[in-house]
Amino acid sequence: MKYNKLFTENLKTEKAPEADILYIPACQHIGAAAKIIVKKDDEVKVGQLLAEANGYCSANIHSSVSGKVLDVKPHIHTNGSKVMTVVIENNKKYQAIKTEPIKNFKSLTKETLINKIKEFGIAGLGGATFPTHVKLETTKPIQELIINGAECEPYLTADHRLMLEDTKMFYVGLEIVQHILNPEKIYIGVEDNKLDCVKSLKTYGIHFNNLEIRPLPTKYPQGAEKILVKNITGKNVHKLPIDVGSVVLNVGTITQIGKSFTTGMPLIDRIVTLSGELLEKKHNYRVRIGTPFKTLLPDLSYLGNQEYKIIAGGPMMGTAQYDINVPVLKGTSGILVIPNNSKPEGDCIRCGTCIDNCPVGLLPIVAAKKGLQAIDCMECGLCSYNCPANVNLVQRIRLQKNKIKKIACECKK
Amino acid sequence: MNIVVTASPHIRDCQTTNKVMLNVILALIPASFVGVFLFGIQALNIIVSSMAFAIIIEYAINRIKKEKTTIYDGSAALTGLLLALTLPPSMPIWMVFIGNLVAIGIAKHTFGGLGHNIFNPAAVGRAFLFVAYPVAMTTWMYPSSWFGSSAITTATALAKEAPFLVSTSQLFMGSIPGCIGETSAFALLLGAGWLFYKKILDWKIPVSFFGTIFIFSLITQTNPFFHLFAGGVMLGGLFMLTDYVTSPATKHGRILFGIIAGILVMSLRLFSNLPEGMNFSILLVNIMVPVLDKIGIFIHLKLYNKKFGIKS
Repeated sequence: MKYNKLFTENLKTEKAPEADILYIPACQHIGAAAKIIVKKDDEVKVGQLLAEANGYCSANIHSSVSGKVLDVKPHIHTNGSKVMTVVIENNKKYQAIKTEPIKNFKSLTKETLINKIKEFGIAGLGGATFPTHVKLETTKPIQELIINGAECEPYLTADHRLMLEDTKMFYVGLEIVQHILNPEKIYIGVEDNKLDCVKSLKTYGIHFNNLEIRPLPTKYPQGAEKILVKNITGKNVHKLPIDVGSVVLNVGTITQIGKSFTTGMPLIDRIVTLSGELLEKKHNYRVRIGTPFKTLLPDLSYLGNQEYKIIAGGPMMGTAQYDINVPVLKGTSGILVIPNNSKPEGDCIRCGTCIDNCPVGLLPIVAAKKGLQAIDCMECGLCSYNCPANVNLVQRIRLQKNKIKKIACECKK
Repeated sequence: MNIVVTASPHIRDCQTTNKVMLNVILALIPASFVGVFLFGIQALNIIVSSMAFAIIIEYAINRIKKEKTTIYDGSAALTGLLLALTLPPSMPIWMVFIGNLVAIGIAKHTFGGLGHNIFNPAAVGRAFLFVAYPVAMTTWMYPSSWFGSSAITTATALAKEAPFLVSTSQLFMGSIPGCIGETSAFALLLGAGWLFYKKILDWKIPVSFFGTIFIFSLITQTNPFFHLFAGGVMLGGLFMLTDYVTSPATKHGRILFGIIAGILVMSLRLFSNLPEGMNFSILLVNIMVPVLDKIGIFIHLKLYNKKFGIKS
């Protein structure tokens, strides 16, 4: 596999271009959509709560700019559907709400800290955007805390830059999380194509006595939770890492926790990699959440008649976009513009390549045809990637999953 | 704007069905070369015309079925080549044509073309020729120098009344009477090594197949190397049993597949009237593939549940 990280891995994080109108959807995480509490014509400030967590597995959404709420309406989301979105006109003054840094977090209880993280609206910044407070709220004893710095998706270098540039902030966050979870051991898993990160992490992290920085082979999907836990601890995870006493958090999430605690500002921006063969200028941008892709991408008319794809996320698991008005969300780690190289689906020749390549040991072709164990598939895409006949195995497995879920719903009724 | 939207993943490996087929054809070149070297221009004639027939027949069937032309995927050429390599060098060309007609027309396309056939097309073609033209199919030639061999009716090394004795090294290098491509175990192993290096050949079927033959011949007190290198075992075990379409896709299914094929070959060779059982054991074991895949899935589920501690 070509990782294509050289495009952007040495580019410093820059401030992204300012957008005039931002689209902030109420659902940017796994779980229930947040409840929007602002209405049309309200004035909002940077960091102001726009939508509050609706239920246990949900997350707060904050404004990333100051200005007027133009509308609250359904708008295109990176997953392709339309969801309720707060449309804000940016007045470019960036007036912020009054924030209070949290000092002395060690004197606070675990519950207060988790509550704070919940208030800051932090969700997993690796891409899956699982609300972080839900992960931390566990009564089970934690054997190991695993920090995911693998960033195994090709092209993406957002976490790479973050580990290099924000190492200090990362350790501030790590101390807080360590205080909450009190794990026996902390591991940081980094793929060995980012040895500069390993070095930087080692230099700043000497005051942790139970920390181990583990360089891992560069092999997609190294950064998938189950694979990471298996490769670091040797434990087999079937559903969630917590079942075997591990918690996996992304480096971006940890750094955001550190940042929010030191400044008091909730999650309002993130690093996004702009890359792909068809982009002349590539960047690592710090982008305010809600900025439409249109603002970040150059005018693509120079591509002429060439067919291309705009992808939110990495090329293996990201989603192709059909509208450049789609906003950057909490989980958008990259925006790629790559040539369209999809080929028509051929006939399965039963070569078994998908079975040999499945990282969680499933039978992808059987899962795609009959739905066997489809639920256990994490949709990493390696089966489709390797298939010589171009069978869209992952997509077929997704359809099987939907079928299974539908049946399960009907059974409950 | 030419935005394209598809499901993920958005990048694909460069491996394609054509490349797989071309690599297998490439891997058969050493064996073909040895065949031509041993049996002369007739062998070359059979190989080239067989591949040409296969492609022409495939194209004609594409036209009749009004479907997309599939000759470019290389599977037809491969079938033609495999069939040619399993024929005696003195085979008349028109019989080669009939063989290809059966292989491509009946064994492959009546089931729906590449990926849907139950039997290995080349094996079906050969089986048909063996039954229809038994004399031509058992007329062997002594290998001789370039362009100079003459057809002499002789027996294969496997026949019980073989008039000559062959050494294991002769069998290994291939300087014996036999079919064009199956005499030289060395050339076949060379090609298989290439496929293994290219990660196209999976070790499970050849290893379990050859292992079974080895153990079986030790038990029945026959020379295991003789059984491995004589006849079609090498060609069949490395290139025909391992045909993706007609072998199980599951790991455990593949191992079982190799073992059963090995037992069948040895049983046919030792306890039946056929001197060579490879051809028919390929076809027999091909029928079992759906069952073997079911067993493979069953074992897979058991192991998977054990690994993750799932109670079912």
